[in-house]
Amino acid sequence: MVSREEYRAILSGESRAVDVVAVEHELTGLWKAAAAEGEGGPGVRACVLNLIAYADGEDIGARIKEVVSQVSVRHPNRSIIIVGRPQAPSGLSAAISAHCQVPPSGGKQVCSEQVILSASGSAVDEVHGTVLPLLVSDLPVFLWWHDEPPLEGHLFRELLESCDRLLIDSADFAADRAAETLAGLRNVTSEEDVSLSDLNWSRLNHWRELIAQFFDGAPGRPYLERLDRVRVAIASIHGPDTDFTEGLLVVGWLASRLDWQMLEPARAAAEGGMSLALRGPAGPIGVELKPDHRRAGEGLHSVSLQAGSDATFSVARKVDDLDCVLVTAELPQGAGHSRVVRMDVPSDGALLSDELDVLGRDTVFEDALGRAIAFMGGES
Amino acid sequence: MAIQERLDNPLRLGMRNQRTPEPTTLVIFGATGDLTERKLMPALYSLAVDGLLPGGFSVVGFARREKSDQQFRDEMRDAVATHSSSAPLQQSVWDGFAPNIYYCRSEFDDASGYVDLAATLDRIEAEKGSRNRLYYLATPPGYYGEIARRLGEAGPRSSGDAWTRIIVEKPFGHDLTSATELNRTLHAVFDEDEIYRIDHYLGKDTVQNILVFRFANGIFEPIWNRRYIDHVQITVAESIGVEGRGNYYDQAGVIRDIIQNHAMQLLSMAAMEPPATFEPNAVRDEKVKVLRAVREILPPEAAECTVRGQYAQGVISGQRVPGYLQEEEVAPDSTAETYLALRLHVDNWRWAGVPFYIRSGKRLPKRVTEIAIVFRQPPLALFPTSQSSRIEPNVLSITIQPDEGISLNFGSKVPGHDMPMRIRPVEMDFRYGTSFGVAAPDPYERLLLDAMLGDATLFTRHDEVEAAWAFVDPITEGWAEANAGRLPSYEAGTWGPDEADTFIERDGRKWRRL
Repeated sequence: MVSREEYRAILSGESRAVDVVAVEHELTGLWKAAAAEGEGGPGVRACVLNLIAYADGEDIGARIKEVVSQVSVRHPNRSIIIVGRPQAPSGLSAAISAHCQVPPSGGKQVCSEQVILSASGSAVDEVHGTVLPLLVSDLPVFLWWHDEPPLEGHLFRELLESCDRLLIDSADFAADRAAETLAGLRNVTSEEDVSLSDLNWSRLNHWRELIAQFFDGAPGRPYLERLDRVRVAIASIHGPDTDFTEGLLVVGWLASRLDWQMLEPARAAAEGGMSLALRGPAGPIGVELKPDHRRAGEGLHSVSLQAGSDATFSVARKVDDLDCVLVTAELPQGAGHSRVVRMDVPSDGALLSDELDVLGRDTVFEDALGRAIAFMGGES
Repeated sequence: MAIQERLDNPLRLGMRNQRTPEPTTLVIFGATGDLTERKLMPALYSLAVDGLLPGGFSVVGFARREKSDQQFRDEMRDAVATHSSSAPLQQSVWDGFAPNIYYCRSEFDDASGYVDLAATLDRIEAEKGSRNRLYYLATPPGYYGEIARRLGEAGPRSSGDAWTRIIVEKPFGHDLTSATELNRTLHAVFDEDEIYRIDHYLGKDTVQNILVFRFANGIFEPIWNRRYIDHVQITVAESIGVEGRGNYYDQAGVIRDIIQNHAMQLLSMAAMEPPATFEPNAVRDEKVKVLRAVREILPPEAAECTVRGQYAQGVISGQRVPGYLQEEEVAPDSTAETYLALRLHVDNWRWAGVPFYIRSGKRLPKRVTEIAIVFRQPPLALFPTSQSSRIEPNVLSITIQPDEGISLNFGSKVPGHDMPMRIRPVEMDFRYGTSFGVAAPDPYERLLLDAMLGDATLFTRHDEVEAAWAFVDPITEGWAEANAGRLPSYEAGTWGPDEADTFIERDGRKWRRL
C-alpha cells in the first residue's frame, strides 16, 4: 500500500515501481490516500481518454513521458507508456506516477495517471496482455506509436485492434520510405477500422486555416477555381535530404478539396526541389516544392497560390520573427491586404493535444493523405 | 445561415472554424472610454493574434477628445499590453495590426463629424477592398439614439453583398418606454437583423453550455419540468461594490443593472423549450416565449414578491469596505437597491407551479453565478432521518462563474453496520477546468466575431429586451408607490438582508449556501 510520503512523491511526478499485476490496485490506493487529505489535498484525478504510447528504448521513452505530461492538462488521461527493448533479455516491470497541474482557468490541480511498462526481449510482444486490463472503460483509446510502426509487428497489431485511433508522426519516417509506410498504415488501419492521425498533418492546421481564409470572403473567392500555380518552400538547414511530406500533404489537401487530378507523379527538380503536374477543372496547375536551406528550422516555410497574373495569395514565416507569418493577398487594381499572425512552431505536446481533440475519422486528412501518397509514387 | 452557404469555400470542409468574416471596418463610438480600453481592443488584438480577423480589417475610433491616429494607436497599444489575455504583446503582430487603426474626433451630435467619418471609411475601404461596416456604440447610453440618427443621415446602408451592422451595449433603455423608443429609433435606420444588442454574459462559454447541457444530453430533458422540479434558484452574486459607478448605479439599482438583462437571460435559457434548430431566430423565439410567460408582478405585489437591501460597511476578504451610502457619487439618502431577491413564476405547461427564486447583489461574500435546479423529494420516505442521517433534495447546479462546472448531489449510504442506515448527501462534480484544460475565450472576442459573421444567436432581440422590461417596470413602480423609505441593510460580506432568508423560508425553502 502507498504510504503518505510515497503518494505525495508520486503526485509530484516521481515514478514508483510496483508489481506488474498490482498496477490498478496501487493506483486505487494512491487516490484513496489523496482523498484522505480532503479539501486541502493535492489535486483531483480526471480522465477523459486512454493514451497508449510505444517508445523504442529508454531515451525515447523519457521524451514521450515528457510530452504526455504536457498534454495532460488539456486532456486529462490515463497514459500507459510501453518502453520496449526487444534486443535485451526478457523482462517486464511497471511503475506508476501522476502528473498534476493547475489548469489555465485556475482552481485545484488536475492529475493524470501514468503507467510505465518496461518490456524487454520476448516480453515486448506480450505486453499488450498487461496493457488492456489497465484501460479505463468506455473512454476512447489512442495509440501513439513513436517512429515508424512495424506494420506486421505482433505488439503493434494487437494494440491496434484495441484502439480507436492511431497517432503517428510521418516527419519521423525515413524520407525514401515515407510513401510506402504511409500507404501501409492506411491499409492496416482501414482493415482494423481504426482512425489514423499524423502529427505532421496537425502541423498544417494553422497553415490550412490561413489559406482557407483567403477564399472565405467575396474578394478572394472567385480566384479559388482559377488557381494555376502552387509554390511551397520547406525550410531545411540540416542538409540536402529535405522531407517533403508536409508540403505534399498541403498540396494533397488542396488537390482533394479542389478536385485536382494528378497528371504525373512528383519529379525531381532543380536545386533539390520537386515538381508536380496537376489538372483542375479550369486547366493545368503547376506545383513546385523546393527546399530553402537558408531558412532556420524545419518544415513548411511558405505556401504561395497564384491565379494567373490576377491574384496571388501567400502565407510565409517572417524571417525576423519565426513565431509569426505574413499573410498577403494581392488582388487586381492594387487591392489586397497584408497582416501578421502568430504561428508558433508547435511542440510535440501541442501537436499531440490537437490530435487528441479529434475523436472520429478525419476524412479530410485521409483524402489529403491519399493524394500525397500518390504524388510520392505510392499506391493512391 | 444555411449550411450550404457556410461550406461555399470547399477548403473549409472538416475545419473547426467554418468561415471567417468578410473584410470589415469596425467603428467604435466612445473609443476613448473604459470599455474600448479594457475589453474591445484587447479582444480585437487577441483575434488578430489567432488569425481570426479577416484580411482587410480596420478599426476607426470615434470620440470627442482631440488626438491623432498615432496617438490613438499608442494608447491602444498600452491598453492591449495591460489588458490582453494574449499577453505579452507580440510586437510583430501589433506592428501589422496598428496601421489599420484610425481615429476620428467629433462630438456625437455634430453632423460634420459623420461626414468626416464617411470620408475616412471611403478611403479605408478603397485601400482594403472592404465594404462592410460594423458600428459599435460604446458611449454613454444617452447618445445611442443620436448616433443612430446621424448614421442614418450620413452612412450608407447594406447593399448588395456589403453589409452594415450596429452593436449596442447594455443598458438598453432604463424602462420599457425608453427601450421601445430606442428600438424605434434604431429600426428607423437599421433592420432588426442588422442590430446586435450585446449582453456579454451570453458570450460566456458556460452560458452557451446551458443549451448544450440541456439539449445535447438525453437524460436531463425528461426530468426538466414541474413533475420533477420543486423550484429553481438563480444567483448572480458580486463581491465588488459600485467601483466608481455610483452615479449610474444610484439610478439603476440591481434590478436594472443585473436582473433585467443577465438574470433574465439565464432564466430564459434555463426555462426555454428546445428550439427547432440552432438558428439565431429559432433560439431567440424560444427565449422570448419564456419571458412572455413570466407572470407579471403587479405594483401592489412588488413588496410581497421581492426583497431589497442595501449594503452597509463590512469586511470582504479581510478588507474593510464602506457601505453603499458612503460610496462616491451616491446620494446620502439613496434608496437604490444593491441586493434583490425575487420570486417569479413561468406560466406555461412545463413550469406551472414551479417558483423561480432570483437573487443578486453587490458586496456579497463572493463572486458566483449559478443556476440551481432543486428536485422534488421522493414520494415516500423509506429511510428515517436523524441527527446523523439526513436526506436532502437532489440539486443540479450549473455554475457560470467563476469555477465553471456542473454538479449533482444525491443521498448515499454512509459505510458501516448502522441500523437504521445512515444517509448523507454527496456531490458528483464536473468542473470545466478539470476536463478541458484550456482557458475559455473572452466573451467579447466571441461576440465581436459573431457580429462580423452575422450570427445573432448570442445577441438579444428587440422583443426579448422589451419583454424583460415589461416584467421589471411594474416592480419598480410598486416600489415607488410604496415609498418604503430606507431599505433593509446587510453587512458587506454577508449573503444579503435577513429579510431575504425569511422571504424564501415562508415558502418552506432555503437559499443554497454557496
